[in-house]
Amino acid sequence: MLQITDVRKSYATPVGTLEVLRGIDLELGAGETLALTGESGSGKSTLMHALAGLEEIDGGTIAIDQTVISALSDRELAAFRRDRIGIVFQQFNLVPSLTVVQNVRLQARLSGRLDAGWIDHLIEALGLESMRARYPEQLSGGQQQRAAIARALALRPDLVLADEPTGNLDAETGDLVMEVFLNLVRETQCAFVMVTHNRRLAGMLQRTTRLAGGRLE
Amino acid sequence: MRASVLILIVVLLIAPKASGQGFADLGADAEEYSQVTPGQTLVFPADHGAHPGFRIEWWYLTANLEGTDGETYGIQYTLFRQAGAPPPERDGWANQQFWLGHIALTTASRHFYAERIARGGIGHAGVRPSPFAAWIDDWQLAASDEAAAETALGFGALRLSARGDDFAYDLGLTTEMPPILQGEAGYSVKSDRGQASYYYSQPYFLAEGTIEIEGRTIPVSGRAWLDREWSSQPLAADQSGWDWFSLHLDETTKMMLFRLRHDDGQHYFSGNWIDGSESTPIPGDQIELEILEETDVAGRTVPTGWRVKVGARGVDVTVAPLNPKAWNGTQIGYWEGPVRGAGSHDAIGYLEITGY
Amino acid sequence: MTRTFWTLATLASYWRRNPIQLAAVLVGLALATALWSGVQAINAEARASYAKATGLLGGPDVDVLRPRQGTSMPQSVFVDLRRAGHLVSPVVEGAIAVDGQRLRILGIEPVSMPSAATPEALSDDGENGGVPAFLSPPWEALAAPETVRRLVGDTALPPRRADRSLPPDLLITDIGVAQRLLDSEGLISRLLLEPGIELPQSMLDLHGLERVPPAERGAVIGLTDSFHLNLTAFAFLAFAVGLLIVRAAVGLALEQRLAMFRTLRTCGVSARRLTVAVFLEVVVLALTAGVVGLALGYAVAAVLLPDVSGSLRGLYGVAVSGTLTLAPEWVLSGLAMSFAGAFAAAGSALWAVYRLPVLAAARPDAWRAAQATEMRRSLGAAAGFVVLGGLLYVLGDSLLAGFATMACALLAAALALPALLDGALRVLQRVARGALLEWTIADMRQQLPGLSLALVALLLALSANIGVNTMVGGFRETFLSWLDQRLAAEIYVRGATEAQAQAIDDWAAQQPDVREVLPGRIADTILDGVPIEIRSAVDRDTYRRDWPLIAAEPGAWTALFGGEAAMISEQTSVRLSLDLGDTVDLGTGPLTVVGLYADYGNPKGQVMVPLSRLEQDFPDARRLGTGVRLDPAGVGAFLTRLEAAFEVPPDNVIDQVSLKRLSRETFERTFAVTAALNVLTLLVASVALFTSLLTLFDRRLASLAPIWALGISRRRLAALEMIKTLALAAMTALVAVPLGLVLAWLLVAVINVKAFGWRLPLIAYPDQWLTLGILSIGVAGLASILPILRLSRTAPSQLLKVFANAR
Repeated sequence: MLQITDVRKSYATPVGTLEVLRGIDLELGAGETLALTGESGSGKSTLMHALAGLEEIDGGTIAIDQTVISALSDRELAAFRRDRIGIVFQQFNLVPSLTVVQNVRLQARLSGRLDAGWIDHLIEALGLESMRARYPEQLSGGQQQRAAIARALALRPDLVLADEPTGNLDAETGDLVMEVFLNLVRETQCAFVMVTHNRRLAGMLQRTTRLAGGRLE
Repeated sequence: MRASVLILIVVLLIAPKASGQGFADLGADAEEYSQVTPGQTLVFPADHGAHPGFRIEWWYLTANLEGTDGETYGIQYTLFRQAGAPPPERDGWANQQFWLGHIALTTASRHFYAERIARGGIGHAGVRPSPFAAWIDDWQLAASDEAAAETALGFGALRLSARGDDFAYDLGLTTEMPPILQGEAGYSVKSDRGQASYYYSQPYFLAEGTIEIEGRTIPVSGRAWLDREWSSQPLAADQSGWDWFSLHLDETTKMMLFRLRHDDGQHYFSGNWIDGSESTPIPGDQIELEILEETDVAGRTVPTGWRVKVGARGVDVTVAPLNPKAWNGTQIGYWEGPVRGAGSHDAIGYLEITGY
Repeated sequence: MTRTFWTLATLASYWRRNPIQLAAVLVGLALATALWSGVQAINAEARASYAKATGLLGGPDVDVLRPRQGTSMPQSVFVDLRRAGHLVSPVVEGAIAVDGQRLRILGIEPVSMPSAATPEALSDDGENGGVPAFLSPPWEALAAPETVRRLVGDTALPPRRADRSLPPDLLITDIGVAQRLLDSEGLISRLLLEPGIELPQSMLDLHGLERVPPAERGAVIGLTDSFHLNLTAFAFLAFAVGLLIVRAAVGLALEQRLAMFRTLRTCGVSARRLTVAVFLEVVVLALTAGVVGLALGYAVAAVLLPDVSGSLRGLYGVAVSGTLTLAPEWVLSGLAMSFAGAFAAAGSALWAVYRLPVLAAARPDAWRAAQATEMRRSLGAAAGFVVLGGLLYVLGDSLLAGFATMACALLAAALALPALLDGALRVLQRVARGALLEWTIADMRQQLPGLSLALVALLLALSANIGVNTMVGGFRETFLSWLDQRLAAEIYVRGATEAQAQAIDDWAAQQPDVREVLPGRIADTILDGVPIEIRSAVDRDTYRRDWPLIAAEPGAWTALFGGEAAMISEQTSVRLSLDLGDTVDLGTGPLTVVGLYADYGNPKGQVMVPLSRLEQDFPDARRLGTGVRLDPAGVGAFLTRLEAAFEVPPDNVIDQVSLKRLSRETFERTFAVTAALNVLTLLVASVALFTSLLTLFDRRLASLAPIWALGISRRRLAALEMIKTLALAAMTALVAVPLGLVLAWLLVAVINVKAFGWRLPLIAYPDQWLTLGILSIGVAGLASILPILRLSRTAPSQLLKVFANAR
């Protein structure tokens, strides 16, 4: 499903070149879940963004379901991301001027394959029915993240990437959100990569790998 | 029916309500004006003059000419009269007659035209029956001398001269034939609902003189045809324009045909067969007109090539224009140009197409 | 298509949620377009009318044939010329008394009239054309609205239709009607024909006619162009203000949607598609606002045009039609301006969207941080523009350089304003005592980057107002006083023939109520390739005491009438580089220049010498109208006696008293137009301020919450917010005064001189500045009411959230 081979990435900084990823190799099958841990600044987010095609890599290949995304143009990449990948960030996942249901449908609408039944199921499973017509600012943090999860899963993506999705929530809310999230991931049968530095959350996933010194341990 | 323009003054100056009334307002009601009735006898030379009690009137001359340079030319001279108010006539500047002059010269590749407007009552435009003169400013069609004015019922010898920016003509016109009456003895019906005009012609003029194009003078000679027509309401309200032919079939045989187009496609056909001094109406159902060629000119499409068939008279000619772009871009535009007919007859003549 | 549609729909959802901001963008752009296109419409309409107006008066596009002897000719001359192929048109003219008051009658023949001369009311085509009613019973006549009112109830005259383009006390009728009213059936006064049309001399001789080429209309052109140039400059400034608003509003709208952009990108919208969508959005905004702006501009023009036409008519004797036609040029130019404006405003933002780093996008502060550091760079750029403007002023010699100098001044001021305000606040901060005051000033400084665009808009609006008001005011005062002195005589009379003129001079000198008779002559010559008029002066108080001089040697008039000296016009001085003490030689011996005088509106240079000298040196000199000085109250009586004694063509008598009264009235109308435009520009600026305040509101909460937490009530906070806005507006107004004066100076002393050859004095109007200052503070207060009301009603929980959300 997901094949990462010798991915390298460095940034030019005032004090010299900073090598963030020094050759990452990783494989993940459909339905597999992986927690990516590591210190702050270890390159977790960079790797995630590279996986999402949001950031170009300097070397190596990233292939999702035989498609080498690192070779795609910005346009193809956008299309690929739209149709195949769901992303949940720590915050700012929603368009503030769209209601919950409009947000959830956004990606599906952009790709032109709206499965209303599945989306209703997601909204129900995430406990958002009573908030369908609300705007993000009227939701609590946990509710906002649940809406973001629904949006990311609305197209039944092959790969779901989450960057500390519960990082902004208190532990109790975070666990609840995480539980529903994982249930839905299982139901969707997608590959799932989540950045976290929370061991307990990492433990809820099938595999855990740690990024340090630009390499996976 | 030769009215081409019809009086743009109607629209320009007088127009009480200038819409939905057919081409150039010729279909508007006109009860206060004198009416055209059958059975009237036209009297010459008195009827060469103006009939101010009628709403509109024209003196309309066209000529098919050959130059000594071997080229073919056509010229047009038209004086329109339009009454701005019903009778009685007023004198001086209070006079409500308006005059409109159009002149044109056509070659195979060029078409020139010019336009003048004037008010009646003070003398810079008008018509005098005898000795005949019809003028606007320096454009004039008039008896060449008093003696000649006595012959051929007043039209024995005329001189025509006019000048536009890039062209001019100066022609002598002579004939020994009297004018011929169109329609039924000069009563020409224009629709099934009775619209009609008084209409006579002089189609036998021999023309000789010079034309001038951009400073170059060319001696010419040929045939000319004068039409006189007046009415107060020559068009029905749903008639939008007409296609009119004057054809010299040979030296003594002439034919005038027209088709008045109705909005509903049920066009009104009429014509006269002229043989010497005999003029016989041609019933509408004997006339067949077929469009063969259309020309895009002045942003419109006008039919400039025709097949003209009058079976009963053995006429079946293809009529083609000398210059398909003979458009008079006057304030009310229309197509007016010399044509040549081939087939049963070798004809020359003029075609007028209005209301497109 | 679907994708672009949903992307657009998502972008649009922002506007749906923030309708006030949307309104601000649209209103700003629409107002800017409205001002621009409105002024353009007025200008275009006015220009189109000149030819006709001046033609009617025998002006530039029409030649006149008039009898060599007497004042009329038989109508048959018209017919004869027409029959000979010469396309002339007859005019009959005269005056009658109606209820003891003079009414000038002008009879025309619209069918043959050259189109350049046809009155506006008669030249419309179609149903509204006045021609049928004019030519047919009962022969409707045309007159100025005030004249129509004056004649209400008069049944001896034909029915009247009002035409704003006509001067008062004039009735235009069909020629036949005029002949009857003037009791001159069969007679005409003159013939009109289009210039360039040949007419053989033999024909003129045959009918005893002389052909008079177009009257000099340089004066009219010069002054009207100056007026339009001013209007155009004003429109341009207004549009610049509008641009700033749009830039502020669009920029903020983009900034506030950064989160949305990022979400869209993560949802698989490519950078290109997103940029295209934003681009389309700007197009729709520009189009909508452009259309609304055009409609508004049309309305503005329609409302103002009667006043403008009145102004021009009274000022320059030029009639401008009071009606408006929708010319495609200005529709296009209006829309083009709207688009150019929107894209100029959104261009950099579009680029930013295209290059938007998806990840950095979540930090809305980045934009602002960049703007803050920009302040220093802006100050540098401002200094650059000051230097450039100075260089252009010193080295430039063209009208374009004049405008470029003005642009430099504006840009420099716009760029420097935030830094200037910041500097001023920093100084205040140092002297401020008290925690709350300190915080207030510090907070103002923090707010400055967000408000700077709006404040720049306010600055430009204010300085444009000050500049244009100063210029128009200076124009009014100088021009009127110049007119007063220069055309000092109460009446000017020109005899139809030399003999008659002499007889009138002699007759007038014997009238007991006449104080002075001032005959005059004028001749043309060319000096160093410059066309020069030589005009006469006579030794009377009207010259010695009243003739306005810009500069003069002591005893200049005595020197002049001594015969060895001359005075020259300002234009002559500029073009021939002559100054006081220099000598000028008209080919008749050297003359010392002893005086300079203003000669506004004259495209030719002028040299003034004593009448005796002119008559001696230039025997062919033409006669000017003789000035007659008398008690203004006695003008009517004098004219009645004059008309009884001489057959003078009505055109040859000018009643200067009523002309001046008219000029004064119309200057007031000019001011009304200027005032209306002023209000509109300020409105535009207030929209900018409003937009900025509103969009800043959310960010403001973060800095207000801690103060609130310290125990300052929301009401008090709101009051402080209001005071801060007003203080910034007041400071901006302070900067606007000098900038406005610089603009005014550039307009009257640089651009006017380059364009027309004369300068106008700069007169300061401190009371106007005060009014504008108060107005701008009022506008700022108005703009801040809504955002501040929102603040004072903000729920405490909302303020608390600031802390909860703090990362």
